[in-house]
Parts: sequence; C-alpha cells; structure tokens
Amino acid sequence: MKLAALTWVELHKLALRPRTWVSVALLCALPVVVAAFLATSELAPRPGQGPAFLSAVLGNGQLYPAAALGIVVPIFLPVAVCVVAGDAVAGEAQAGTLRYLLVRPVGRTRLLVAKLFAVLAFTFGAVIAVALVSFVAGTQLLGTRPDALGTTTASLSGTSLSPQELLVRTLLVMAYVSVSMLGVAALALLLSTLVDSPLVAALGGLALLVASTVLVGLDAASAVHDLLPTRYWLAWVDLFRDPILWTDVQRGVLVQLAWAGVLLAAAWASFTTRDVTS
Amino acid sequence: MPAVPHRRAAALRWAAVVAGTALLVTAALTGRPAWSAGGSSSPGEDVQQVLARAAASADVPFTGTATSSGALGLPDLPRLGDVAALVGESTRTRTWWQSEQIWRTDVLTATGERGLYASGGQLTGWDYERDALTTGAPLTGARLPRASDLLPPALARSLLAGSTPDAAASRAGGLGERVVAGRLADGVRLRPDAQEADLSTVDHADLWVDRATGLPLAVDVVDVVGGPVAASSFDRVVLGDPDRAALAVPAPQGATVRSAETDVAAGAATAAPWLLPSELAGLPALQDPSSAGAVAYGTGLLRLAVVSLPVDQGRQALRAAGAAGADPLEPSAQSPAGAADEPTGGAETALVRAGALSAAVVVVPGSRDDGGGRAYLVSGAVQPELLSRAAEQLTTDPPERRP
Repeated sequence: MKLAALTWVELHKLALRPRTWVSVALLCALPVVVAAFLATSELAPRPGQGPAFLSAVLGNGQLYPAAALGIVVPIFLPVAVCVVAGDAVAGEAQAGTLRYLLVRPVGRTRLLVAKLFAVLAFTFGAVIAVALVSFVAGTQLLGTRPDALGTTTASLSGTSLSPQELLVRTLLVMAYVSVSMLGVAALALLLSTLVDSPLVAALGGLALLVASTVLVGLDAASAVHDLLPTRYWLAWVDLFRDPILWTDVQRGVLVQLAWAGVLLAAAWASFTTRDVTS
Repeated sequence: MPAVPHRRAAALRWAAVVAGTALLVTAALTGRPAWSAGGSSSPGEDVQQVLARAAASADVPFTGTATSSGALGLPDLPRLGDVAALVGESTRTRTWWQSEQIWRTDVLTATGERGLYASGGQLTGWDYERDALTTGAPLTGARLPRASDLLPPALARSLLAGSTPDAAASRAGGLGERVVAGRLADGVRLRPDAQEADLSTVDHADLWVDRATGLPLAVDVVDVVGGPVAASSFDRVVLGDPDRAALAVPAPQGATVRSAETDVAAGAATAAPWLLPSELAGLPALQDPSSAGAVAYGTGLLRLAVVSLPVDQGRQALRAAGAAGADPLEPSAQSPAGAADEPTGGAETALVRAGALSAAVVVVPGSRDDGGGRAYLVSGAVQPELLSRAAEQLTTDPPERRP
C-alpha cells in the first residue's frame, strides 16, 4: 500500500474515533471557561503573574487566540498529543490488530510514517481548533477595543499592530506551538513501538515533559537547559515583540527538530526490528 | 529471514541512530567553533590596549540580547524599583545602542516587556503589563541602577571608570581569547592592588572584549570566596548601527501616560542637605561632589557610594536596620587609640551585609542650629573596615551645608 493511501487510512481512523473529538473539545473548553470568568469578573492577573496576555485581552479579544494557546501549551496540549501518539502503534498491539495489519503488504517504515502524519495532523488540528474557538470566545465574551477591528492592537513593545499583522503573528504562534509538540510526540511514538500499552507510552511522553520542566527550573542544570524540549515552549511570546525576537523561536524549532529526529529514528529502528507477536 | 543477517541489520540501524544522536549532542554542546567567529582574526592586543578600547566603547553601536545576573540579595523595598531583581536575579535584555544618548533596552520577561528609551537627554519607560508609559526621567545624574547599567559594555566601563587604562593594566593580566556570542574576544582579568585587596570583597573581574571593535561582550565579577557578584554576557550581538525604527519611542493607544517618579537615590541627591568631600577614606570622588548629594568614590575595583540623607530619614533607616538585627560599625584600624569606647567618632551606625555588598547607615548627632545632625548611607562591595573609615571621616571632619 502506498504511503498516501496508508496516511489517508490513518487519518480516517483518527477522525472516526470519538476520543479524538473529545480531547479536542476539552482543549477548546478550557479557554472558553477562562474567557467566561474573565468577562464576568473583569479581573485579570496582576503584572508578572498568570499566563501571558491575560491582562491584555480584557477589552481586546483579538489577542485571545494567542493567550488561549499559551494556556494549553504547558500541560493540556502535550497530554492530548501524548495520548494520541502513545496509542499509534501500542493501541494496535493492545487490540491485537498490529500483526494482522503487518501481514498485509504494508512496510513497517511506511506504516510508522503514516502514524506520524496522523499524530501531526491531530496536533495541527487541535491548535487550529483552539485558536478558532478562542477567537470567537474572545471577541464575543471579551469584546474588542472600539478602534481595534479597524486599526490597531499594541505589541508587547507598545507599538501598533494592524489586524493583518496581528493575524500573521497569530498564525506564526500557531505554527510554533505545533512544532513545540514534536519532542513529546516523538517520544510517545517511540515508546508506542516498544510497549503494548498505549497508557504506558503516553505516560512516558508525559514523564519527559515533567522531567524537562523540572530541569528548566533548576539552576544547577543550567548546562543542559538549552537542550531540553520544554526550554523554549514559551518563546511564542517573542513573536509579539516589536521587532520580533527570533532568537529563541529559532532555537526552539531546532531543539524540537533535534529531539524529534533522534526519537523518530529510534522509533524506526525499534519498529523495523521488533518481533510483532500481538 | 535468517536470524544472523536480521540481527546485523538491527544492529546497523541502532548504530546509525546512536551515531546521529552523538553528532547532534556534540554539535549542540560545543557550539560554533572559534574559527567561525565573527570579528577580526588579527593577533590579540596587549592588555593596556584592550582596556583602553573597552573604556572608550560607549559610542560603538550594536544590537544584541544579553543576560545579566547578580548575587546581591537585597530586600524588595518600596521606591527601589527593580533594583533588588537586577542585582539579585537573572535579567534578560534586548538592546539597540546608537550612542550613550540614543539607545533602547528592553527587559524581556516570560509574560511581557519593560522598555527604556533614551533620546533627547531623557528616558521614557514602557511597561507592557501595566500598560503604562513613563516619561521625563533624566538620562544623567544620581539614580538607582537600571537594566542598561548591567549590559556587558556598561558594566565593564563602570569597572574601568576609577582608573586610567595604564593604571588598570598594571593590575590586570591577559586571559587569552574565546568566542562570546559568536565573536572573537580578548580576555582581561582585573584585580585589586595589594592595598585595595584588604578593603574589597571583590577578588577579580574578568572582561571579554571584542577584538574587532573593543566592545566588552562579557563581564564576570567574582568575590573573595569565589562566588559570583555580578555576571553579564551577550547571547547574541550584531555590531553596526541599530534599526532606527526600533529606537522610536512607542505611543500606545489607551496606555496610561505619567511622569517619571523620582527614585530614592535621585530624591536623596536632590534633597541632600550636606556637601560631600572630594576624597573619602582615601578614595577620590568619581563625580563632582558639589553637584550631587550622592557620590561614588573609588579606584580600581574598589567602589564606595555615599548618599547624604535628611537626618530624620537617617534615624528611620537606623531604627529599621537595628530592628533587623544590624550591628554597629567597629572602629576602623586607623582610628585613634581609645576610640573603641566611642565608635566612629560618636556617630550612631548600623552595618548591613548582603553577600559581597556592605552598607552602613551613619547618623551624626548635632545641635538644633546644626539641623539636628547629619546622616549618610555608605555602601559598596567592600569590607566593613572601609565603611568605618568613611564613617569616621564624615563624622569627625564635618562637611559644609549645601548652598
């Protein structure tokens, strides 16, 4: 079976699973709940506290997609991605369908790549869904400044961003947040090729997330900070500075590509070598 | 498939993965090699030339991001602004520098940005999270430290301010070369001379100076027990004129615009009732003492800052320090015999130490005609002995009232 056809099959399976839509709905629900609380209480976090932009979105809901992505990035999005990636191969093994799948003329490498595409599609899809839902929630619940739709919004540096510039920067944030999930997704996929339990694979991905977060906050581990997968997750904020500060965004992309490259190569070596018995 | 070729293929796959990982980790940990660094590849200059160029680097234009950190654990007090964070925590900045008169430095935080814009002899501050623009702060004069003071070039120039390049070079040694922020830099280690070493809590300061332009790229100040006092280094720097558009002061719609408050140092300097001497505890003044009530004294790495306070503020500070458990200053080794019963010439004093930093409040009682007495705050990365000498001079050799 060709890769395109195999990928289509995997995407189809992903779309037909209720759990896919439940996890996307839960991801979208959190920013809506936060927007509702902000709109009713009009109490934004104090300066220096709470997620980025939450103090700015009161009265300017156009910034809320970025703020919402900032809310789901640290925990909820990686949890959802790990669950999907961890289920990719181990789910087939646990259900006993993996050996039957491989009996068909399906190369293991192609199957792994198709699974990877499905995980990436879920990640991008979830990010797009969160951004769209939070835009609607932000503009409807938090409103817009009287001049905002027609003219400008302030960047972190106090300069004006036109609606077009705001849209471009929000799209860049969406792309960066999606790329930031590559590391944990790749580890969950690797573990998924090693074990027969999707739960263990997903928890393994989350263990990397927790370990990385702990080490990033530890001064004694400063020598390896720049190599940790969560080190640059919050660098998306730099896309709203003026001029854009690309340094950490570029480093963040490189770190994710490096982690993904190594872990996916290991996943390929593991899956193409493994004796499939279930 | 036969078992042996299968195992061999598996081993080859894993070997390729391990080799690729090792290559990636090596590349990430070693960074860019020295031969790929920007800047001149000419041989390094001698220490005196390096220091002379670093001291004259104020008008070298650049754009860059830097990280600075301090280990002075100051309490977070009102009217001290960001000082406690600047000298006690890690601060990341982005700077566009045209000259000493025209620059912009942003303090970058995870959730916002605090910008400082210098132009037309004034400073404008922008705080994203407070949605506030602060205007009208003077660019020069007595003031508290700000983020731009901890940039590697500014920190290096302040360390060199108390000496001529010749004098500084006589107490300095070369450290060779290394790559900082992708540029080739010459290293110089400054040390206090033998006389200063007994009075300073600073053991040495390492300066890394760009070979092509003389711009200091990294500074490390280390105390006498080997701990860090302050460190500042560029993560990335581009030499040459900065983007003019980035230097423009923003005018955000809807933001609160207010006049800059006078910080505690500037306020004390303005309200200071007494003149300060041109030389204190053997150290020359680094500014004109007649123009300000807050003056820095020093040579080499020895620095002492003195602020003349209204006496009632001095007494408040004395009581607060006493309540926090501060001890009075010991008489200095230079005080006359028998003065131990009357420490520091009859003045009331309180000594506070935080890491390498020592500070003393000195209140000299006086008559009603004398305004009720005099008060000073004396501080620096110095041993208490130097504070005692300064306190004794301020007490026993009373200065004149400011006009």
